[in-house]
Amino acid sequence: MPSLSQPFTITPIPRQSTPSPIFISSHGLVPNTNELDIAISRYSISKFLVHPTPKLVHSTAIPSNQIITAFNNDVYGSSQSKHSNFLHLNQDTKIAVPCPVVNCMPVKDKNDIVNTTVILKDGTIQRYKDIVLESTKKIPYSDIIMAEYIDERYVVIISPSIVTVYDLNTITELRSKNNITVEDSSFKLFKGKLYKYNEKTFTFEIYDVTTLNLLHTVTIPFIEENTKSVTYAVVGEFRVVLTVNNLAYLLDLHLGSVITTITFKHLKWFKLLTGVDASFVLGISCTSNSGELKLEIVNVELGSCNLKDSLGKSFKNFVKNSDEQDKSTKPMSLLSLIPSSKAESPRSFDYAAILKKLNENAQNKDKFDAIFFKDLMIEEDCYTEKDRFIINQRFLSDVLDLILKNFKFNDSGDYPKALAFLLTHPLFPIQKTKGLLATFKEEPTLYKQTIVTCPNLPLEELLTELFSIKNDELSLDISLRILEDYTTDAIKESLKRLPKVDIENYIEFVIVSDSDKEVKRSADITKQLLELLSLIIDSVGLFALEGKLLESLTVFINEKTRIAERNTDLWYLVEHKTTDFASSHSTNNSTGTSVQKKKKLPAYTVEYLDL
Amino acid sequence: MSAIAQKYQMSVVSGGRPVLPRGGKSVCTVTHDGQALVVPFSNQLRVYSLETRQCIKTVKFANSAVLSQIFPAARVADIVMGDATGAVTGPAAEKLLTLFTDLGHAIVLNYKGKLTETPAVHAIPVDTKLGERVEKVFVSGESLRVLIAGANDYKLAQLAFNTDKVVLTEPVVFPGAMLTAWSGDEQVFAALCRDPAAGNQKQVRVQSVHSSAISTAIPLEKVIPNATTAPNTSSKNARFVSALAIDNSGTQLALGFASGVITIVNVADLQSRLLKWHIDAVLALAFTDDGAYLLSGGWEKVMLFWQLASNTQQFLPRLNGIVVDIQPRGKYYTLALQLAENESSADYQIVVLNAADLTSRVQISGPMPVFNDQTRSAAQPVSALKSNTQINISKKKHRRKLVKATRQDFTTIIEQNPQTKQLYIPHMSALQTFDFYKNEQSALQFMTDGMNNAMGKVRDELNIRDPEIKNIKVTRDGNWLVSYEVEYPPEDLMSSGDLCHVLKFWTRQEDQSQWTLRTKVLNPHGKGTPITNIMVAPVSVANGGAGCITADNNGGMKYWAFDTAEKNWCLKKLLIPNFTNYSNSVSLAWSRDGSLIFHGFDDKLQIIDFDNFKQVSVPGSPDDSDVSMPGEFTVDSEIQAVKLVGEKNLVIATKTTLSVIDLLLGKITRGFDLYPYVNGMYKNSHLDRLISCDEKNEKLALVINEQVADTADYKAHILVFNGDLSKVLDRFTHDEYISWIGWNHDTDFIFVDIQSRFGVVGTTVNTEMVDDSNREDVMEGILDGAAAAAETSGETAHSSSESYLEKLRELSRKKNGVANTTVANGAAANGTQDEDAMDIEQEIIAGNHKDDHGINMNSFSNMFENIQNVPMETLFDSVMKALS
Repeated sequence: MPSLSQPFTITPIPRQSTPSPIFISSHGLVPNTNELDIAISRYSISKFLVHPTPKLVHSTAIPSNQIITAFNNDVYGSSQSKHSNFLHLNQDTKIAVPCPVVNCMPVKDKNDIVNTTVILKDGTIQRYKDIVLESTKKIPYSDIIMAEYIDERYVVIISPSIVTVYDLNTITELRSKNNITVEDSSFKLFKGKLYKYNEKTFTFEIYDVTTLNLLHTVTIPFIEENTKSVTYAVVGEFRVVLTVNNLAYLLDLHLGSVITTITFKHLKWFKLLTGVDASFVLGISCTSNSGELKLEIVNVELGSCNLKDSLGKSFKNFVKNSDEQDKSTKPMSLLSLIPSSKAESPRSFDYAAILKKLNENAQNKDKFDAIFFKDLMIEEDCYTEKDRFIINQRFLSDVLDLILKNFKFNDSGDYPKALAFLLTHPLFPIQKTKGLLATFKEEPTLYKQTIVTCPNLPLEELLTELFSIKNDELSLDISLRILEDYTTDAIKESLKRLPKVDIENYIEFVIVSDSDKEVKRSADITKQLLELLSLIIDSVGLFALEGKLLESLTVFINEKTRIAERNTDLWYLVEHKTTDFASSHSTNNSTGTSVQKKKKLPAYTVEYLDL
Repeated sequence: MSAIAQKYQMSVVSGGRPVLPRGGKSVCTVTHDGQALVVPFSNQLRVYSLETRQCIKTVKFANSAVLSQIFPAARVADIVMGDATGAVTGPAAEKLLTLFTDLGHAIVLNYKGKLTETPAVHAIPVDTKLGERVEKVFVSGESLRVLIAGANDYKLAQLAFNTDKVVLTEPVVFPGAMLTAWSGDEQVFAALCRDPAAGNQKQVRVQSVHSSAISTAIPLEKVIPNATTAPNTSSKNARFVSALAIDNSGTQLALGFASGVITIVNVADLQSRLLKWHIDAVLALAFTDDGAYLLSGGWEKVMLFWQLASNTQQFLPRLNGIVVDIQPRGKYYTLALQLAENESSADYQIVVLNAADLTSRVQISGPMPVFNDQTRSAAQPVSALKSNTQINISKKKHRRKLVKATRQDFTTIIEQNPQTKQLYIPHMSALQTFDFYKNEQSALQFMTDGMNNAMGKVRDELNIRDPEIKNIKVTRDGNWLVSYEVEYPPEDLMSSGDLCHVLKFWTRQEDQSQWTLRTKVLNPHGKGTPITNIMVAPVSVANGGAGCITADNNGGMKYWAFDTAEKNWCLKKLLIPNFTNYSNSVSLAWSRDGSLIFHGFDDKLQIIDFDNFKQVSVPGSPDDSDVSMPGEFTVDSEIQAVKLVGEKNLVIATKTTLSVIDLLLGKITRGFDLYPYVNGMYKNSHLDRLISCDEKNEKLALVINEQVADTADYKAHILVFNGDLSKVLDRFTHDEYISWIGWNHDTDFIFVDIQSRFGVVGTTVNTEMVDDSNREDVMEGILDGAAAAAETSGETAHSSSESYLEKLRELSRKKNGVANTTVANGAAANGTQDEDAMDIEQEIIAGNHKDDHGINMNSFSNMFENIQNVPMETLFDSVMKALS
């Protein structure tokens, strides 16, 4: 199951007057990492062990006027003022650079010498061998906002004017695209895809790095207007964790679904820094009462990453107070496309008006019926194909409410016929079936009608009714209904939750009334009852039954077996006789059974033709 | 998802049946040079080379304005090589042939060239209102005689094409003629007549076609074998002449009877003798040119050679179908076979045998789908033993039934191989493999242990019904075929109802057209339990899709997959039958990522989790319990089809509505009223065959068949919807009942009608329809294909996550290469040009270049279709044009 965990703290962060950047070295950002290098501007650069509990390994303090602009494997860029920018290649080497470092990438070669590639804000790409500047190249773009390395060789550079991909070995531009806007946007790079989130429009755009083509656009509809603190981190292909204040969502951007969500109850907000492939995200939390800041980790379980996780979880389902109308109130017709003499144009109804009229006449059942049947153009007392255009479930539900509110069901027969019609409608609102049987208990006609035709009756209620009712016919109807509507698995599951006493009573009822010769049951229906009985016994377990009941059950079964055996014998006899008869007296059909006269299959014969 | 606006087009491009007019006599004609055979189909003429066995030329009637008006109302009655009207003579006439239709058209056609010039059409004065039909045209030198069948008689008349009109002179009338025959050289004509004027006595009249050299009448009574000598056969069959033949000299007459007896009559002295071998009606008789041999054929699927001098027989057994026509043509025998197991239609195969060694030269057949019910074109020859030939007798009754009945289910099952694009058509116990693009049967394979496979049946085996293939599926990789067949126990037994259900898994070698059986499962869902549906796995499961799910009529499902260790298909998962009721309305769909199975059973839709093979339960998230959807939906009536269009739109067709469930929203978002169009028309779950889903472009095609009021004629509508059914993208009307529609795993939908014709509803202009004269259309087709290909690769881009590094490396290699070239050249302008070219190339590699000239499998099919007739230069030009 996909899930997001509650956050746990790695380290508290000192409160600062203006929030300044925090960086996490990329080598720790791998699944199952145990080591995190964290650079906090104006504070420290520290190494933490994550498991079993977060622990500080070592820490280097940095001056409180020093803002960190880039950090990667002990190499970092800092900025103290506009004109004082430095590149720290190791603890002792600090090189002044003309403008802030946007990103740096130290790579150890086979001689253990660190080669560092550094990208500066003005578009300069510098290379250092150990601490010696080897080369400087300027790309024709300046004011670089972001630079992300891919596979130690390529870099995606984002500037207000252009998004480009460079080969660092040759400093050649592989791709560029200048129509990707960067205002109000935050970019993340993940497995060859560039994710862009626009804070104003709440829209994600996903680009393929190799072509810089837009692959997918999706707007998050459930973020309320003017929500500021939306952050995100990419944790998988098209999967991002998004936080809005103290709510975290795991999103499937491809399908447009919220896979899972979690509320961090004690937090005011949680801002994400970065995410790691299918394992965790790091972010800064702010507790709601004290306002403490902490660097925290949230474990991510991505789940199966397929449609299963997204079932019924569309973005739209998370939109609060959506007043979206039920679109499916009227089936569309193909009539305009395919003229057919047989086809009638679909009827549409002014449900609101009809409901209003019904409301006015809710006390008078005859008037009520008259309006109901006339306005909805219903011809029969029960649902037929002609009524297939009445599909507004909300309307059906409202009418039901109206009837249930205004009429009493106490064996007086004083209810509108419309109710009986509704009970036959296949789109009978599912939420209204709850408690329906109990309501109609005193009104046998309705009760039976409900059992026979009303769709989606809750299994629990059916079973409860089945076990409490002592009417043979109704008991049969209910069991048929249960068997028809529910799978054996569901029935067994449900039976397990019912009190054993009821079940025993029912078994007794079936056994006793069956052996009661006065009650005649047609063989076919008994079969259904027996099937249900076997299911019941299956689910409670045969030996959980009382000894006495078991005994009578044995007698019952023996009796049935005896009958079955007798029938089999008779069947053999009939078969034997008829085949015998058919062969010996092919014209004589005197056995008087229903078995058809069988022509014996002749043995293989050979005919000679004289030529 | 699809960014490209698609415009669909419909065309009927392929398929059709060989025409066998005159009650099942073939009218194939050998061309002038004797190298090829012209075979008329219902919708085209096809020319087959007798040397290479290939179709070398097709003349599609639909491509000519004139011909498309004549056909398909008329049928080809006869073909005469050259210009029968005499307007063109000499070598120029060798390109021409004259088509005679039953409605009296004489069409002079240039069959070698393109269909650019308008064929000349002449009208032979036949009174079609009185039921007159042209049957045959006899040519001998200058003399041209035409045989016209009327309602009660046959007429043999001289035909003359005068400059202003066509006239018929010197008619010889055969009153009450029922059966006709002519000699191999078409000089002698024979007819079985029951002349009311002659006291309703049956007689055989023998007549020279072009002269009056021979003209005799032989009363049938005199030559009929004495009924008492054959007590086993009912006298009716012994007197019912089912086939007739006359030799070239007009001296020997052969009569074949429904009882299977052949009588040879010496015309001169009425001496007769009997030839007995056939056990059922003799359907085909012919004398060889020298009159020394009689060839006969019938229900036994055997061709017999009777050496008349020595009374010995030779046999050519194991033909594919019953022999309905034999025609010796010099070096070749032309046989017409009917695959009569299929009673829903009339499936013919034309076989040309080499007379010397009896090797098969050409086998010609159209697609042979088996329809659910008998169509109006169903026809079976006379049989003394089979009772179901009654449809011939009461054809009118059958037609009346067709007009009145509500149930009009002529649907069929066809499956297309996603890789080779071949169509698999189950044909009772066999499987026909049909190449849609070549329009050619590529194989006919028997897939079951039936009696029919090897030969015909003897009398006592007639109540043994052969197993029938009920369903087939091909896996996504195209390497496996899943077939489901039902074996029937013999009739008249107590066990006759105990059907045996067999599931078979077949594999195919790369280069072979035949399938090899790998795994056979008897009664896969338990004894007597049918398989109601089969669905193959999406590519994302079971090693690229070597898996399938079978469902039964009680809610049970089983998942089978190829086990590489066992080297067999094995049962991997199962869901035991869970329902207490039975239903044949079972439909299946599988999500593209393989995680979910949608199981429509009766009026319930279950969502099954493939991992644990159980119904999913979707719990609400802890924070927001409103957000949840049930794992089961109940809809208004029985579910007929379930299709997953795209990622999240599940289309459900019930008996009343076509609706779509947005799986993410968890509710029905849209619905169409289907009730007036499908009510009672189809058997349970057969509507599924008329709905197809284009999984790549997320489109849905729906066929609605409609009966033309008070006739047995139909028309069909095809609607193409977008993925969530919010828009009807296109709609088409076809003039015949459509039996099946399917997605061709590309951009098109393929359909078949009850005339076995194939059509395409697609975005690519079908190259086959386009004649060479308008090449531009071909180019358009190629462009469209390329656009589609571009789209596909866009899709793969976001499915493979790690390949981007490869792509980047490739990209920088190219770029740096370009940079080097630029430096080397030292010419900047030159360099940029190069770079542009490289860029385009790059775009193509990356699959994003929208207007490049890609090539798909349709690109060349048109060129190669008629390759024999195309000069080499033209071919080269065509290829270059397609490439550039």
